[in-house]
Amino acid sequence: MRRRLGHCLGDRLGDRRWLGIALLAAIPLLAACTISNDPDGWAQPIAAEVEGRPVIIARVEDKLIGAIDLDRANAVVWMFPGAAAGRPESDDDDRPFPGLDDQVDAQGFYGAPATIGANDDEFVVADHNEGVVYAIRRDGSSARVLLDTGVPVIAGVVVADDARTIFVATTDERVYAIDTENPPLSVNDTEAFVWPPAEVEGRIWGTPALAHTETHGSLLIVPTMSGQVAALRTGDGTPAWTFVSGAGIASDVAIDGGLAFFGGFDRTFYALDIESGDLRWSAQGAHWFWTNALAVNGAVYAGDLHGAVWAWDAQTGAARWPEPFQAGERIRAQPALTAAGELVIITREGTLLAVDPETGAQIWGDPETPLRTSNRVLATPLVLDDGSLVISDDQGVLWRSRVGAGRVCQVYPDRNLECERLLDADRG
Amino acid sequence: MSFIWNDLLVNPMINALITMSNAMLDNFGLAIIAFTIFIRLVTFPLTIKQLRTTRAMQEMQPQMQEIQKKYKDPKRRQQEMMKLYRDVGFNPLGCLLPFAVQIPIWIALFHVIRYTVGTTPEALLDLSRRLYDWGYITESVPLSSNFIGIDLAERSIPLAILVAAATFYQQKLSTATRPQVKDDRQAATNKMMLYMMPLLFGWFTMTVPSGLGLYWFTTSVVAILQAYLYYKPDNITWRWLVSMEALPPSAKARQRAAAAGDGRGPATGKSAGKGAELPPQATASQDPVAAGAADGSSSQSAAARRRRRRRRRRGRGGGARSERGD
Repeated sequence: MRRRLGHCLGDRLGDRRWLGIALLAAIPLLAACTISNDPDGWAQPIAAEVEGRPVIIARVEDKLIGAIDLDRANAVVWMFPGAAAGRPESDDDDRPFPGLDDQVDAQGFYGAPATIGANDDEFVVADHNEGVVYAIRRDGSSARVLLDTGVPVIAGVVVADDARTIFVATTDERVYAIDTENPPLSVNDTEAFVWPPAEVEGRIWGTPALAHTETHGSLLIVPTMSGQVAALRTGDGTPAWTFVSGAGIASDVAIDGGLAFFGGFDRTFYALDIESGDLRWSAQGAHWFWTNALAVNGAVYAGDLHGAVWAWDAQTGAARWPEPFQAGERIRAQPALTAAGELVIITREGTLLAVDPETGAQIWGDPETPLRTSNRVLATPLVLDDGSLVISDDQGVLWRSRVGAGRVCQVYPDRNLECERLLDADRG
Repeated sequence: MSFIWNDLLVNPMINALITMSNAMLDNFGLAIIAFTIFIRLVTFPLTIKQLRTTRAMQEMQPQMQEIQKKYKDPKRRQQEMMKLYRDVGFNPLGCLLPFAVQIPIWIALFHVIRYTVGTTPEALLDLSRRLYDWGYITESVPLSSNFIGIDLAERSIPLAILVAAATFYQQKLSTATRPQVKDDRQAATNKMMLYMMPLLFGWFTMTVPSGLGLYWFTTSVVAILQAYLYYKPDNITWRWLVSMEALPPSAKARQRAAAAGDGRGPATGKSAGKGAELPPQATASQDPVAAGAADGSSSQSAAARRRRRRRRRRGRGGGARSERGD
């Protein structure tokens, strides 16, 4: 085709200018063909404290991780990579983050930030783009590299009970155990790991979960995109059991009441016995399960990509609701349970809804005038102690809302204080 | 527009590709190759139409150059050029129309492979809404991206080199099948295309998931085969294969140029866009295949004989028009 176009233009017009025009036309055409889906990341926001003040650690702005103090005039306490705390601004934008040797081209944080250290001294995040695991000091004054995996990392980092050992699961089918006080700087330095990297069958996208068993001690339950679920002993990385589902698993694993819960691309939701890996029960959904399961109060809730939210009895798998709740739009964010007992559902298009967790009846959210954020929502929302929700959208904008209030307010960047005043007044 | 693009073009292609991957024992690489060949076969009638129009354009080249030399006034030159087109029944848009029709198909195929490879979670999430609600399809995603040691979701330098090489030979083949170029500027243009296009496409391949590179490589190889079978150039040798230079045009192309240069005119007929049919009295001297037959050369083939018979039949019914064309 390229050659023939050249014939048409070149032979007919016999002029080199037409070749230039053809090449210039080909470049945007090819560029249009090669636009790649850059990773955006959907890290769940977490609540933390920095210098005695409550902050939200969230994926904000252009795929960065930031500590946001909503009550400060300048809400940004620190931003990683980029604006380190306490460092004066400079025209030199090429400065590396304090503690790091090079400038970081990090983007696409998918796993929720985890904390390590006896006093939650550092936040640990894994970057999809470079496959590097960073530890950022809580005050944002510096950061360090814990591991450069060299491959994309999508799963969140899991912290062991000692708050010192972390487990990093990668897209090249490996699980690394790292002592954060003596981290290996290279994946080839196998001696420096807590145990040699464990291999599983399939790329790992979902965040593994820690489970405590009587038979095997502490286990790391790892979902994979091949459909295999592997339970690794956290002491030595050896497999305790494996389970093979019907298709890939991209969601995180949730643990409750001796069971591991996850849903897969075979439209099936699974509950496994964490002692043996035996299937306790399974249930069919309407499409892929990609939301993380919420296991709470003896029930387990999950949404699928058809827009249905399902509720089962955690131990038996019996349906809790007469029929699944139909949100009408695909769901990727995990449902959230507020202190007042409402189950909040946020669809991919950013529509907020709430249902009664006992009956599945809708108690908030008008289908005629849906309440929604400006952008898509893929991250699990954060439920604050005051009952409000913090939502991180796919453009790095933070929103706040409250069940019952007919509004959702942008809080970062460009906080809408009037909206928030009305939001809190509605509560009154 | 979105409905046409997504629901009628991209989404059916995505589901067909996944189905093909399942049929190929979950080998996504083989599925891309098979799917690319399938798409090229589906668009083959358009390709043939384009090749024919291009050949007709080549055969008119000497007359066009003569007109350009003879008439300095642009308006008069344009008139003469249009007269020439009219005389031979050639439509200048004939080679661009099939190309324009194929562009959306190729771009859609690029997007299909990009979606299906699913390099990021967002891409896979996007793919989910494009899948038909059949367990056979939804449960087979994500596809295995490993193909003979290449991760189709990642970039591959060896594949980029292969794409550049295939593009290079595609360009070389086009040079070898063209009539002899007397114009220095045109020769320089051809030479630049010979080296620039492989570099351009090789570079693009290095910036995208290698699933797309595999598609580019396959489509180039198929295009080379199609052009080879259509033109049947007689100057392809081992030396040609290893040479970095564009070789002189084939004997057929030289014959075409010589015949046209003798003033006997280019291919004429009912419509060049429909195969550049020749008038009966001009066939032996102007059509390269027919000319070979008249000379008793070895290039005569069964296909050429069939083509000649077809032309004779048409010539009987279209003589008046052919005479006017001459």
